[in-house]
Amino acid sequence: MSSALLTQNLLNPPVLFFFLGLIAIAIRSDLEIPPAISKFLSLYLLFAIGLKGGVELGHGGLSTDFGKILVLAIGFSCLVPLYAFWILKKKFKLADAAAIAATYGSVSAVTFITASSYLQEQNIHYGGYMVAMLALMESPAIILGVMLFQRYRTDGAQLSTGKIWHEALTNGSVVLVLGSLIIGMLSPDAAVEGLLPFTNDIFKGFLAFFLLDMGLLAGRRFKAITSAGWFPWAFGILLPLLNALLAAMLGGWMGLSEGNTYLMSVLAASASYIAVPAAMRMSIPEANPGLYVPMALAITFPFNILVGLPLYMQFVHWFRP
Amino acid sequence: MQNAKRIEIITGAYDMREVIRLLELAGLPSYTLIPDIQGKGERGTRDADGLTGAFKNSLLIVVCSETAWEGLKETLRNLIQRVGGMVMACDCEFLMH
Repeated sequence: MSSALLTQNLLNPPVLFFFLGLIAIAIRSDLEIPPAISKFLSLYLLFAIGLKGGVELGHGGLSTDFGKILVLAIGFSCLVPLYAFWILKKKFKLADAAAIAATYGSVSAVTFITASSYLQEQNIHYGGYMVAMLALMESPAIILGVMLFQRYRTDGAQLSTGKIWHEALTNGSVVLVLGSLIIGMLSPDAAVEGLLPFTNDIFKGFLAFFLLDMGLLAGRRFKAITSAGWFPWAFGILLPLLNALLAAMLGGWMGLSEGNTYLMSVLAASASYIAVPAAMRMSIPEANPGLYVPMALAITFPFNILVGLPLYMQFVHWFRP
Repeated sequence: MQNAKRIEIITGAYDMREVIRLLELAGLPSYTLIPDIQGKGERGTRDADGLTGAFKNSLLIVVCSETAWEGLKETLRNLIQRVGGMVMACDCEFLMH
């Protein structure tokens, strides 16, 4: 990766605000963002990205990339939890292995949104349907993680599968992204234009503010993971790298566009810290959220934002014909 | 004034739905719920932080008869053993309406 690409990413204001959040925690500042505002910002970003994707889908429809991307999205969201679980159960207790596998099989909407903003700055186009892939890739890993736990547990207790499916498919982020996507797709241009000051003009400012909050959150979760040894760190960095590399290779081989391959790499490399913890607390309460949330939030998320975004673009370029 | 049991249940925000369901099954549909509380226990710190409810606890207060409490005790014990949290019960005097 060229140092210019890395520097350009690190000097991007949203990324710098992420740093600021980390620094604020390191110097024990009392800087904090009220939880209700954090929640609002995360909902706003999902709303804006969903609507934007829907409008583009309405205009451009489905390109030839769509079917291939769909296969990749389903493939990654089903295979990553399986092979992650196989590695993890050698190091962690069963419940934790299943929860971490679900975490890494699912995706991070904020990483996706930051990556789409990165693409916009580079003037690289991507398909609106990538937002649908974001929503699609959230749930399968949750269901697989719970199924793996159920398959290997020895206490004989049974979980209600209906409850798991309901939680996986109706979690707030999936409903909001898919809902906004459909609304964007159905709405006439003139009607959407009125929303643009809210969804486009202030988007980057809100993203920067949200990343400040994510920096604070990640900083607080660092402490929880420092006592867990080297393995979570190695896993939280190497697995995303491997997944991104695989996605870039397959995207290049399938002849996908640069923007679509990049976003698929970012999705494959990201880990969920919003949808998965909610589902795991309900379906595998034996799993320790003090392990699987910090791994996603304090290791993988900062790695992806600071180093991964430019590095995955480099991966995409390596495998482009 | 009536003599009664005051029960306080602290557990994860997501698990409180199950607590409420169990209370309703036991014929106790009325309760007071305080969301987003923090604390530290055997299963780590719950700092009510983050975008998910995974680190949030809630406190539920319910008042019931001694008999209802005896009937509820084991059900709550089973749940708390699985999901974490604590249940406290004490005698109280109950004045309503």
